[in-house]
Amino acid sequence: MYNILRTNCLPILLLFTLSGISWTADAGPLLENKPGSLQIQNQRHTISGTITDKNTGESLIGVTVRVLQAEGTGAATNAYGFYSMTLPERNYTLVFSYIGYQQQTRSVTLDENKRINIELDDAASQLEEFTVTARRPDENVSGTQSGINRINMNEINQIPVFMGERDVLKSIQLLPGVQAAGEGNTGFFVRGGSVDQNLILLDGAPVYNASHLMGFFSTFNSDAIKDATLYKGSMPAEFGGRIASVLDIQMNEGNNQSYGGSGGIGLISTNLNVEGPIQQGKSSFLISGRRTYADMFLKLSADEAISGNSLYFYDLNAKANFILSGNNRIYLSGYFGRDKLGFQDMFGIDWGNRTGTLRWNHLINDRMFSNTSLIFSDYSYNINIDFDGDEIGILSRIRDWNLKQEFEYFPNPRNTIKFGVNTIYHTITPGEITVSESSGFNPMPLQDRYSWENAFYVSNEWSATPNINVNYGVRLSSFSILGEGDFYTLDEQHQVTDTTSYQSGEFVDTHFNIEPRLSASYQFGGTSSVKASYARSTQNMHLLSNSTTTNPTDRWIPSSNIIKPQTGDQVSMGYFRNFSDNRYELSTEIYYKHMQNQVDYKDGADVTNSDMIETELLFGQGRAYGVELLFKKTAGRFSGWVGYTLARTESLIEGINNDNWYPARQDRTHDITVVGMYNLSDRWSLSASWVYNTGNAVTFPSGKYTVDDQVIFYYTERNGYRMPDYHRLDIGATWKLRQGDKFSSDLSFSIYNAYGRENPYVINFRENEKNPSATEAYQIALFKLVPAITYKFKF
Amino acid sequence: MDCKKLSLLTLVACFALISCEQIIDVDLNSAAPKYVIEGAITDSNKPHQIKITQTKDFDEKDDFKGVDNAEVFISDDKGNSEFFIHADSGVYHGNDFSGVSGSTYTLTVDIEDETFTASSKMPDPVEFRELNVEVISILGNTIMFPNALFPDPEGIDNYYRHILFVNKEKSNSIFVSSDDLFDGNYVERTLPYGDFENGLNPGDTILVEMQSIDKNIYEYFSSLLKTINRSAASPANPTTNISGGALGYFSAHTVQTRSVVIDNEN
Repeated sequence: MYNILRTNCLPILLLFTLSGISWTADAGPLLENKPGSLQIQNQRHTISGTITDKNTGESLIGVTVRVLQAEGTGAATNAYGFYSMTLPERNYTLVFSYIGYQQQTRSVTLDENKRINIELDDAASQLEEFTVTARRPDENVSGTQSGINRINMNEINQIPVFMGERDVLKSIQLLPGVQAAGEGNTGFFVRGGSVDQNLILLDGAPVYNASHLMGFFSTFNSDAIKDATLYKGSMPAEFGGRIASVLDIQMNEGNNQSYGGSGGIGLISTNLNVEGPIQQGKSSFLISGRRTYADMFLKLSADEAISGNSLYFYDLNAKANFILSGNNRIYLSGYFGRDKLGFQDMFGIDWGNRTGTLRWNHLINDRMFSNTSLIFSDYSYNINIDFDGDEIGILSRIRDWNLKQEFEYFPNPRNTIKFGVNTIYHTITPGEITVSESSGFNPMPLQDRYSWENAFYVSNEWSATPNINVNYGVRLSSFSILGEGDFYTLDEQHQVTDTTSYQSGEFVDTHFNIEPRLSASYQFGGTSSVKASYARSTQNMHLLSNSTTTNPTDRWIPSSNIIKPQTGDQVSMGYFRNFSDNRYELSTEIYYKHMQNQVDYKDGADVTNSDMIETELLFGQGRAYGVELLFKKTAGRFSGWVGYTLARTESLIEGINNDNWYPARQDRTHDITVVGMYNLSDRWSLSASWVYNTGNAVTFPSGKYTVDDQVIFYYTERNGYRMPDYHRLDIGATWKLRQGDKFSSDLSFSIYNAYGRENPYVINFRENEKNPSATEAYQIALFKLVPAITYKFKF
Repeated sequence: MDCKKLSLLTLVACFALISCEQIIDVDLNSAAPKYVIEGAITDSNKPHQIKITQTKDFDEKDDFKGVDNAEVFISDDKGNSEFFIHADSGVYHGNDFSGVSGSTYTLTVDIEDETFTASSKMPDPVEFRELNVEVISILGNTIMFPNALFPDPEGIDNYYRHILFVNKEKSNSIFVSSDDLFDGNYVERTLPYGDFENGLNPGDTILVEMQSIDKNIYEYFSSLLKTINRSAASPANPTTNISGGALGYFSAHTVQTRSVVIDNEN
């Protein structure tokens, strides 16, 4: 299957891409086949504009613009609320609709290019708070992409969560094809991909470690988030750099009409958000902060043994945007978050991300939208050990400077062409050790690694017929490894045979890749569609993790002269059906994915402090396939969904399990999710989620022996066993205390793991305490019946 | 680095209140028995000793019977060689020659149709200059731990193993170090023992054996430590220097010991 894709499809796809573009360049006949439409071919004009929320000024993403006189013709706003349509000259009626907002209709005499900005009123949504929204009611069926999930921020606020901390990353784990990387963990696996194969973008900036507190909470403060989209199938050509998924998160822009705010007080953290106009209607700001306060209670303790410890994290999101003129808009956004864990003065570790995005939206003309972004992103951790006056410090950092230029061109309502370039400069400081003189240790500097990643992409969203949509494109990517530094040549035993030194800025090696992307959908019967997609993606930043959960000290390494780019080829197909006026949605998808140049450790590898990291690694391939089912009720007092995934994920790594295919750690056969939300009355709403899955693959011993008078466990194969089945019920309730224009508030209650199932977090083995000549297995379970209460307010 | 472990430990302490532990039944496969070889040539204590045992299934009792039908042969790069003689329950003894620094020793074990070989080069000894006991106070508890002090030779890759005995009882802890971080320094190697409640006490006799080991043996013991702690995501057998499919190790190393009694003023 894979070879066919590689050898045959690639040229065909390329040809297709090129022919498609030339087709659009001569601006194909649009409406001439429509009976009754006017035939004035030479006079074409563009209607364009921005659609915003009337009350907040926030631009609205995915608003549909329908043209009544030409059924099947329309547009949708892009990520910045902009739309553009070029139509033959005549009179039109345009309908602007967005779920949860009042529909607006405009009549237009199209005799010249027109700019029509629309402010939609969300007054209607106040009445129907529990309408579960999608961007357009039939998007499930009508969208071109399969394997895509738009995350509804309303739903996130209702689903019960651990410790009452609402979380985007926890919510997406309830979707088919997505699984948690561990109990209560924000790390996630998408369609058999590992945690590092997900590209997580916050306002376009990659977030390298999206977790707090060893993974129990995510870095995303849900109050600051406007929109989140998960691409688990074929990712569009504008995204690249990871092979499993893209989670594209956008922050709120801030209200440019009036001041307001919101906040919450929960069991472990408090958050506060303020937003408002800088200059009314023209510019706005938003500041959102969150901090945990468990350590404040520690401080109250008179016992220095307790008060001297620290354990907290915080997040700060800030964004400002300025409308400079009708054609220019500037955004400035940033995120800063850090965890701190300290044990007296003796030990401290802190880690966190910093990102910054400066973005310029510019309308080159009515049909051409430009988006320029300068993005900074930084993840680092710092460890300090002070042992009786001897100090040791470890610093690790990954830092990106990223410049993106994107264009969207709307030649006619049937084509939307996107193209652009992206260049990223990576600097990785792998874990430098510094020491005080008295410590008796020598400093151990590890080499910084430099690399330069470039990509060019072009894609077209093409409505071939009213029923057939095709999105095709290609991404050309390159990854250059730069000096200065020493690079190694290894023999077959992974031993260094030669070292080459490179000067600063010198090119060590460059990897080129061609990544075709294709999705197509065919809609029939008004409520059904079938979709298919193929995508190749590549990845040049690899995470070496030797723990089962996400760990702040996991190490990112770039591709090198030895480590080749990971590539993933995925084909998927799906059937989508909506029932009862789009109130019920059914999605079924199957996928097959082949991954190459996967990176794994040698048995017993030491990866923390080694310059010659490649000597500790093994390489191989992976494959993943599965079926995903999702049945969803999207409207009414009761809403929710049932998801089921049947999947397999396997690896073939040279040197592991005698070079045979074996189940990957994230391999899980059955996975069931049930989520329900019920609007009991005006004041009370209830929610529950239940998850069930069969166990992940795990390595257990198959025997024992003695060395050095100790009993040692004997392992015969990697991932040869299964964890027990996992299941858990979470329940929640929300009580609205006040509902008003000026102030509203509610109280949420939740219980995590409500029936107290003891799901094993780890299973371990040891000698029996009472009978030292026998060995036993034991499990540790976390989080049984964890209640939480959260007070939220909005003003 | 042990920091990762320590940070996890702190976290585990935080969640201890809501986590719970229980004994469970896990249906583990049985595996074909494998030979386990432990052997050493040292520059002092004779007789040199090679021990051969076998793996057992997980749910069997921990009585590991010796393999007594092996042919054990050791040679060095100076032309000396000797067949080791089976003494008792899988332990084989050799008396003919002394271990000398700089020599490479090769072990050959034949058991029925199988042959296992391993080589190890005995490093130069490094002076074990001092053994002391340090007392510190953490969280109101007094903790004592032994330090082994020695001058690491500069410009040479050195690997060390320390074995701690408290009142003649051997501690199970594995202490190995490489001089990556302290090449050429006067090194103070801390050898932690016990925990807050159950540590060293005044009057205890501390004995430390210091070995200069070769790189393969350092790697064996550091990976053995990972196997014991199950600290890797995918636990595995330690990386042995024995070829032919046996577990265990064969080490040629130097040995020095020092002893101290913790005085009562502590």
